[in-house]
Amino acid sequence: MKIPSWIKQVYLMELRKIITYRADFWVNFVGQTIFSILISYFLWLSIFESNSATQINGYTLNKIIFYYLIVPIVFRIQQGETIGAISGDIYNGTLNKYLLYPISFYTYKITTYIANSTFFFLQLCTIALVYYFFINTDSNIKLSFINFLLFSIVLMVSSLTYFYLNSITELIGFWADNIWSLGVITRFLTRFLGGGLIPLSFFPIWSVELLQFTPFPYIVDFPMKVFFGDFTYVSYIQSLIILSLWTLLFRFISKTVWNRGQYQYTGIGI
Amino acid sequence: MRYVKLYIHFLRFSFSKAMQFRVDFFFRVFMDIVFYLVQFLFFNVLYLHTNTLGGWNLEQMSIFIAGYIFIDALNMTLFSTNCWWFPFYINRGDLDYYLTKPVSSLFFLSLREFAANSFLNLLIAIGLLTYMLQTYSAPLSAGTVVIYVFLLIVGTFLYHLLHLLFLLSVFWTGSPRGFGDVYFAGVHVLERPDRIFKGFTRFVFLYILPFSIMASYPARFLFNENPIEVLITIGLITTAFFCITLFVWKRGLKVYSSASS
Repeated sequence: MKIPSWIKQVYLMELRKIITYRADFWVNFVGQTIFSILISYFLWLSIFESNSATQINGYTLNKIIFYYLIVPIVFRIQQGETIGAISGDIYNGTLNKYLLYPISFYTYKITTYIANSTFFFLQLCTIALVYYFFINTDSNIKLSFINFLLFSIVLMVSSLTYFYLNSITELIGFWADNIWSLGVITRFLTRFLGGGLIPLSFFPIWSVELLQFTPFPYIVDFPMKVFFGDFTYVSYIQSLIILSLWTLLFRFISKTVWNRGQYQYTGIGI
Repeated sequence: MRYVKLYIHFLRFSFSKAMQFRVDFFFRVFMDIVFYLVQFLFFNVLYLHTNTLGGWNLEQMSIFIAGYIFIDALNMTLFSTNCWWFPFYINRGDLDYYLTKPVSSLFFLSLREFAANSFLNLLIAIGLLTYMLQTYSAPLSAGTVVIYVFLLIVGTFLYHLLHLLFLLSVFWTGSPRGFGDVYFAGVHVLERPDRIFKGFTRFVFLYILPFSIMASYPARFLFNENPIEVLITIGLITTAFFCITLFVWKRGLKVYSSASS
């Protein structure tokens, strides 16, 4: 299948936009990474020391630091610059141009979204390699090429899941003004209930069982398990199918809301 | 007095503006309630695996959480919206408008927009803090509580000063948000008890990027942990950062080249 040339152009244009402020990009990247490591290291060091333990719920201190190093970048890959990406266009009336373009609105937005994710994915690869080869001292952490490939697939699907989930909240902008707070709520909930703030294995068992009925563990916890190789091929396939079903459901809802919302759109901005 | 009158005008405009976006008003309230809930749940899950964190038990930690929620709510109400627009004013040259006003431009830029929709969250945060203080098992004198609340307000001011310092980099980089994203990564330090940090990191978070001073130190004062040292440190650090912010602001204005700088 040949990718239309406009998709390549939009993708490259978005990449150029991201690297316009290179200094900012790298300072933010390094700054966020350092803060993330320091906060998680000292917090969990304190917990490990108070328990006089070397391992809690399957995590050594080293593994949990690695977890907190990777998980914020997984979020950035999945969530990119999604807040306001659609509602802003509705609010300002700039959605007009997309309606006039002879291209699909969703394909356009997904292309710009993937461009953002590409950059963060490169960050993830850099950090994972540096930590694994130069900092990690835990022989139990074993990264493999196959696992990383499987992780990348899950990351791709979960990014789409999040894109469609977030687009539903964004499209409420057709009916209500200024709804960025809904996007923030989606982020909070995904991070906490997905295991982004604390790995799910630290949660009470009853809550983990309950969460399996929501998409959140499949968006965050599942990719992280694959990254660390804590999975079987059967569980991988099962979880990937469930994640794909959630994606299809969110896509369906998003498209339905989009189709209905267009009738509300006045095209002049608010 | 002139500044008080001006601020009353800011309040009037902000409330009438907030009432125009009623749905946003309620969404924002809901957003912050979710945020508060997540903060308490986060520590409750951690305390399933430990008895103390940074020397505090869950009861003390709950007061600490309510304290930084109060700081967050106060910052969201008074400063956050203004900080959001700050880099845009510099990049688009809109700063000209503020520089020509016969009042302190930094005062005007920091306080012009009062987030009326966050005000309700501030009331919720005050309610939470009051509840936590009332149900605390150890006796707390009224004087100690008043000073504690005052220190939290000072902590909010310090929070704003540090945020401004990260944003003022826009004068030199011309980028859309300056180093604001790094700041928001660092803000999580404020949400952790200061005594979990050790060595050089602790020194940095106390004196160079004083996130640990903002909420942890007031809590330490409340729990009677070296109160005199706590008061002196908060006073000195806040004064120092106020002077540094003014200095950087003045330097920034010198390189500001008006429209589309």
